[in-house]
Amino acid sequence: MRYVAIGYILTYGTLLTYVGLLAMRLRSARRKEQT
Amino acid sequence: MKSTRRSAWLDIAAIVVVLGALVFAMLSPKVESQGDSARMLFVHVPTIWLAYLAFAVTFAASITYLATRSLRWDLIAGSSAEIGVVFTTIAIIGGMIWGKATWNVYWTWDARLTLTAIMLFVYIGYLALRRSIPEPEARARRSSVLGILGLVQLIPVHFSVTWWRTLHQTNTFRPRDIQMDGPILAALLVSVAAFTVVYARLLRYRYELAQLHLAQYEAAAATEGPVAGDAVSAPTIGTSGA
Repeated sequence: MRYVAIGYILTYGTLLTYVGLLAMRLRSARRKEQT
Repeated sequence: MKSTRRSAWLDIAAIVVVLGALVFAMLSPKVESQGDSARMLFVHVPTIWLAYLAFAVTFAASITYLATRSLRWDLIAGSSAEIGVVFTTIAIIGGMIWGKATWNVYWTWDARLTLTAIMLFVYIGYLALRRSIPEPEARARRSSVLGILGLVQLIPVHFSVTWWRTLHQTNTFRPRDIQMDGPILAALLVSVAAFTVVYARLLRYRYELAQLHLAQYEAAAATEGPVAGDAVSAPTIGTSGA
Protein backbone atom coordinates (compact mmCIF):
# COMPACT_ATOMS: atom_id res chain seq x y z
CA MET A 1 0.00 0.00 0.00
CA ARG A 2 2.99 2.29 0.66
CA TYR A 3 4.07 2.12 -3.00
CA VAL A 4 0.51 2.75 -4.19
CA ALA A 5 0.33 5.88 -2.02
CA ILE A 6 3.71 7.08 -3.35
CA GLY A 7 2.63 6.31 -6.93
CA TYR A 8 -0.65 8.22 -6.61
CA ILE A 9 1.04 11.20 -4.92
CA LEU A 10 3.70 11.38 -7.65
CA THR A 11 1.15 10.94 -10.47
CA TYR A 12 -1.33 13.54 -9.25
CA GLY A 13 1.49 15.74 -7.92
CA THR A 14 3.19 15.88 -11.33
CA LEU A 15 -0.14 16.54 -13.04
CA LEU A 16 -1.04 19.32 -10.58
CA THR A 17 2.43 20.86 -10.98
CA TYR A 18 1.95 20.97 -14.76
CA VAL A 19 -1.55 22.44 -14.36
CA GLY A 20 -0.13 25.11 -12.02
CA LEU A 21 2.73 25.98 -14.38
CA LEU A 22 0.36 26.13 -17.36
CA ALA A 23 -2.00 28.43 -15.43
CA MET A 24 0.89 30.75 -14.55
CA ARG A 25 2.14 30.87 -18.15
CA LEU A 26 -1.37 31.52 -19.43
CA ARG A 27 -2.03 34.28 -16.90
CA SER A 28 1.26 35.94 -17.78
CA ALA A 29 0.52 35.75 -21.54
CA ARG A 30 -3.02 37.13 -21.06
CA ARG A 31 -1.66 40.03 -18.98
CA LYS A 32 0.97 40.77 -21.64
CA GLU A 33 -1.75 40.72 -24.31
CA GLN A 34 -3.82 43.33 -22.42
CA THR A 35 -0.94 45.78 -22.00
CA MET B 1 -18.39 36.12 -20.74
CA LYS B 2 -20.66 33.22 -21.60
CA SER B 3 -17.75 31.16 -22.92
CA THR B 4 -15.69 31.93 -19.78
CA ARG B 5 -18.52 30.64 -17.59
CA ARG B 6 -18.90 27.56 -19.77
CA SER B 7 -15.17 26.96 -19.57
CA ALA B 8 -15.24 27.25 -15.76
CA TRP B 9 -18.06 24.70 -15.58
CA LEU B 10 -16.10 22.30 -17.80
CA ASP B 11 -13.08 22.71 -15.51
CA ILE B 12 -15.21 21.93 -12.47
CA ALA B 13 -16.64 18.91 -14.31
CA ALA B 14 -13.11 17.67 -15.07
CA ILE B 15 -12.11 17.97 -11.39
CA VAL B 16 -15.28 16.13 -10.29
CA VAL B 17 -14.66 13.33 -12.83
CA VAL B 18 -11.05 12.92 -11.66
CA LEU B 19 -12.10 12.79 -8.00
CA GLY B 20 -14.79 10.26 -8.93
CA ALA B 21 -12.21 8.11 -10.70
CA LEU B 22 -9.98 8.31 -7.62
CA VAL B 23 -12.84 7.07 -5.39
CA PHE B 24 -13.60 4.26 -7.88
CA ALA B 25 -9.92 3.23 -7.88
CA MET B 26 -9.75 3.13 -4.08
CA LEU B 27 -13.00 1.18 -3.72
CA SER B 28 -12.24 -1.39 -6.41
CA PRO B 29 -11.58 -4.95 -5.13
CA LYS B 30 -8.04 -6.25 -4.67
CA VAL B 31 -6.37 -8.16 -7.49
CA GLU B 32 -5.44 -11.54 -5.99
CA SER B 33 -2.15 -11.95 -7.85
CA GLN B 34 -0.75 -8.47 -7.06
CA GLY B 35 -2.57 -7.23 -3.97
CA ASP B 36 -2.86 -3.49 -3.45
CA SER B 37 -0.07 -2.61 -5.88
CA ALA B 38 -2.46 -3.43 -8.75
CA ARG B 39 -4.28 -0.17 -7.90
CA MET B 40 -1.48 1.54 -9.81
CA LEU B 41 -3.28 0.16 -12.87
CA PHE B 42 -5.88 2.93 -12.53
CA VAL B 43 -3.32 5.70 -13.04
CA HIS B 44 -0.61 3.96 -15.05
CA VAL B 45 -2.80 2.65 -17.89
CA PRO B 46 -4.80 5.91 -18.39
CA THR B 47 -1.63 8.04 -18.43
CA ILE B 48 0.08 5.96 -21.11
CA TRP B 49 -3.19 5.86 -23.09
CA LEU B 50 -3.29 9.65 -22.90
CA ALA B 51 0.32 9.84 -24.09
CA TYR B 52 -0.63 7.72 -27.13
CA LEU B 53 -3.69 9.90 -27.77
CA ALA B 54 -1.70 13.14 -27.41
CA PHE B 55 0.99 11.98 -29.86
CA ALA B 56 -1.68 10.72 -32.28
CA VAL B 57 -3.26 14.20 -32.19
CA THR B 58 0.19 15.71 -32.88
CA PHE B 59 0.52 13.36 -35.86
CA ALA B 60 -2.94 14.19 -37.26
CA ALA B 61 -2.51 17.94 -36.69
CA SER B 62 0.93 17.88 -38.36
CA ILE B 63 -0.48 16.18 -41.46
CA THR B 64 -3.38 18.65 -41.52
CA TYR B 65 -0.94 21.55 -41.24
CA LEU B 66 1.07 20.32 -44.23
CA ALA B 67 -2.14 19.89 -46.22
CA THR B 68 -3.75 23.23 -45.29
CA ARG B 69 -0.76 25.41 -44.21
CA SER B 70 -2.99 26.81 -41.48
CA LEU B 71 -0.89 27.66 -38.41
CA ARG B 72 -3.66 26.74 -35.99
CA TRP B 73 -2.99 23.04 -36.73
CA ASP B 74 0.68 23.50 -35.93
CA LEU B 75 -0.27 25.12 -32.62
CA ILE B 76 -2.52 22.15 -31.82
CA ALA B 77 0.30 19.73 -32.74
CA GLY B 78 2.80 21.50 -30.47
CA SER B 79 0.32 21.85 -27.61
CA SER B 80 -0.66 18.18 -27.73
CA ALA B 81 2.98 17.04 -27.86
CA GLU B 82 3.78 18.99 -24.69
CA ILE B 83 0.87 17.36 -22.85
CA GLY B 84 1.95 13.97 -24.25
CA VAL B 85 5.44 14.47 -22.81
CA VAL B 86 3.93 15.26 -19.40
CA PHE B 87 1.73 12.14 -19.48
CA THR B 88 4.59 9.91 -20.70
CA THR B 89 6.72 11.19 -17.82
CA ILE B 90 3.90 10.45 -15.36
CA ALA B 91 3.42 6.97 -16.91
CA ILE B 92 7.13 6.18 -16.53
CA ILE B 93 7.25 7.45 -12.92
CA GLY B 94 4.08 5.49 -12.02
CA GLY B 95 5.41 2.42 -13.82
CA MET B 96 8.67 2.61 -11.87
CA ILE B 97 6.79 2.68 -8.57
CA TRP B 98 4.62 -0.26 -9.68
CA GLY B 99 7.79 -2.06 -10.85
CA LYS B 100 9.40 -1.62 -7.44
CA ALA B 101 6.29 -3.03 -5.75
CA THR B 102 5.97 -6.08 -8.03
CA TRP B 103 9.44 -6.76 -9.52
CA ASN B 104 11.45 -5.21 -6.69
CA VAL B 105 13.31 -2.94 -9.15
CA TYR B 106 12.49 0.61 -10.23
CA TRP B 107 13.99 0.20 -13.66
CA THR B 108 15.09 -2.62 -15.95
CA TRP B 109 16.10 -2.50 -19.61
CA ASP B 110 12.92 -4.27 -20.63
CA ALA B 111 11.71 -3.69 -24.22
CA ARG B 112 8.57 -1.74 -23.20
CA LEU B 113 10.36 0.45 -20.67
CA THR B 114 13.29 1.20 -22.96
CA LEU B 115 11.12 2.02 -25.99
CA THR B 116 8.84 4.23 -23.88
CA ALA B 117 11.88 6.13 -22.61
CA ILE B 118 13.13 6.55 -26.21
CA MET B 119 9.67 7.82 -27.22
CA LEU B 120 9.81 10.37 -24.39
CA PHE B 121 13.21 11.64 -25.53
CA VAL B 122 12.08 11.88 -29.18
CA TYR B 123 9.16 14.11 -28.18
CA ILE B 124 11.37 16.18 -25.85
CA GLY B 125 13.52 16.66 -28.96
CA TYR B 126 10.39 17.70 -30.88
CA LEU B 127 9.64 20.37 -28.25
CA ALA B 128 13.29 21.51 -28.31
CA LEU B 129 13.12 21.80 -32.11
CA ARG B 130 10.02 24.00 -31.81
CA ARG B 131 11.74 26.25 -29.27
CA SER B 132 14.81 26.64 -31.46
CA ILE B 133 12.88 28.15 -34.41
CA PRO B 134 11.19 31.49 -33.61
CA GLU B 135 9.67 32.09 -37.07
CA PRO B 136 6.18 30.44 -37.00
CA GLU B 137 6.01 29.22 -40.61
CA ALA B 138 9.49 27.65 -40.58
CA ARG B 139 8.84 26.12 -37.15
CA ALA B 140 5.55 24.63 -38.31
CA ARG B 141 7.06 23.18 -41.49
CA ARG B 142 10.05 21.54 -39.82
CA SER B 143 8.36 20.30 -36.65
CA SER B 144 5.43 18.80 -38.58
CA VAL B 145 7.88 16.39 -40.25
CA LEU B 146 9.08 15.18 -36.84
CA GLY B 147 5.48 15.16 -35.56
CA ILE B 148 4.57 12.72 -38.33
CA LEU B 149 7.68 10.53 -38.05
CA GLY B 150 7.40 10.45 -34.25
CA LEU B 151 4.20 8.44 -34.33
CA VAL B 152 5.91 5.52 -36.07
CA GLN B 153 7.53 4.54 -32.77
CA LEU B 154 4.14 4.09 -31.12
CA ILE B 155 3.76 0.76 -32.95
CA PRO B 156 6.86 -0.92 -31.44
CA VAL B 157 6.12 0.71 -28.06
CA HIS B 158 2.60 -0.74 -27.96
CA PHE B 159 3.42 -4.17 -29.38
CA SER B 160 6.79 -4.59 -27.61
CA VAL B 161 5.13 -6.72 -24.90
CA THR B 162 3.83 -9.10 -27.58
CA TRP B 163 6.90 -9.17 -29.85
CA TRP B 164 9.46 -9.62 -27.07
CA ARG B 165 8.37 -11.49 -23.95
CA THR B 166 10.39 -9.72 -21.28
CA LEU B 167 9.51 -8.57 -17.77
CA HIS B 168 6.64 -6.18 -18.52
CA GLN B 169 3.22 -7.83 -18.51
CA THR B 170 1.24 -8.04 -21.76
CA ASN B 171 -1.22 -5.26 -22.64
CA THR B 172 -3.70 -4.81 -19.79
CA PHE B 173 -6.69 -3.94 -21.93
CA ARG B 174 -7.42 -6.22 -24.87
CA PRO B 175 -10.94 -5.54 -26.19
CA ARG B 176 -11.28 -9.04 -27.70
CA ASP B 177 -9.95 -10.87 -24.66
CA ILE B 178 -11.03 -9.11 -21.48
CA GLN B 179 -9.81 -11.03 -18.44
CA MET B 180 -10.70 -8.49 -15.77
CA ASP B 181 -13.46 -8.63 -13.18
CA GLY B 182 -16.36 -6.25 -13.80
CA PRO B 183 -15.66 -3.80 -10.93
CA ILE B 184 -11.95 -3.56 -11.81
CA LEU B 185 -12.73 -3.04 -15.50
CA ALA B 186 -15.36 -0.38 -14.59
CA ALA B 187 -12.86 1.48 -12.37
CA LEU B 188 -10.26 1.34 -15.15
CA LEU B 189 -12.67 2.67 -17.79
CA VAL B 190 -13.85 5.48 -15.48
CA SER B 191 -10.22 6.39 -14.87
CA VAL B 192 -9.43 6.38 -18.61
CA ALA B 193 -12.48 8.60 -19.27
CA ALA B 194 -11.49 10.98 -16.45
CA PHE B 195 -7.93 11.39 -17.72
CA THR B 196 -9.25 11.91 -21.27
CA VAL B 197 -11.42 14.79 -20.00
CA VAL B 198 -8.35 16.25 -18.25
CA TYR B 199 -6.39 15.98 -21.52
CA ALA B 200 -9.14 17.82 -23.42
CA ARG B 201 -9.14 20.68 -20.87
CA LEU B 202 -5.31 20.88 -20.84
CA LEU B 203 -5.21 20.95 -24.65
CA ARG B 204 -7.76 23.77 -24.73
CA TYR B 205 -5.64 25.93 -22.36
CA ARG B 206 -2.28 25.00 -23.90
CA TYR B 207 -3.67 25.89 -27.34
CA GLU B 208 -4.87 29.26 -26.03
CA LEU B 209 -1.36 29.90 -24.69
CA ALA B 210 0.16 29.01 -28.07
CA GLN B 211 -2.28 31.38 -29.81
CA LEU B 212 -1.34 34.22 -27.44
CA HIS B 213 2.38 33.60 -28.05
CA LEU B 214 1.80 33.65 -31.82
CA ALA B 215 -0.22 36.89 -31.61
CA GLN B 216 2.51 38.50 -29.50
CA TYR B 217 5.21 37.37 -31.95
CA GLU B 218 3.25 38.78 -34.90
CA ALA B 219 2.57 42.08 -33.08
CA ALA B 220 6.27 42.46 -32.25
CA ALA B 221 7.25 41.65 -35.85
CA ALA B 222 4.75 44.21 -37.21
CA THR B 223 5.94 47.06 -34.96
CA GLU B 224 9.61 46.34 -35.53
CA GLY B 225 11.02 49.09 -37.77
CA PRO B 226 14.16 48.80 -39.83
CA VAL B 227 17.29 48.41 -37.76
CA ALA B 228 19.38 51.61 -37.51
CA GLY B 229 22.10 51.60 -40.15
CA ASP B 230 20.28 49.13 -42.41
CA ALA B 231 20.01 51.73 -45.21
CA VAL B 232 23.70 52.62 -45.08
CA SER B 233 25.81 50.58 -47.42
CA ALA B 234 29.42 49.81 -46.63
CA PRO B 235 31.96 51.99 -48.44
CA THR B 236 33.92 50.29 -51.18
CA ILE B 237 37.63 50.65 -50.80
CA GLY B 238 39.99 51.50 -53.58
CA THR B 239 37.48 52.48 -56.32
CA SER B 240 37.02 56.20 -55.58
CA GLY B 241 39.15 59.16 -56.75
CA ALA B 242 39.76 58.09 -60.32
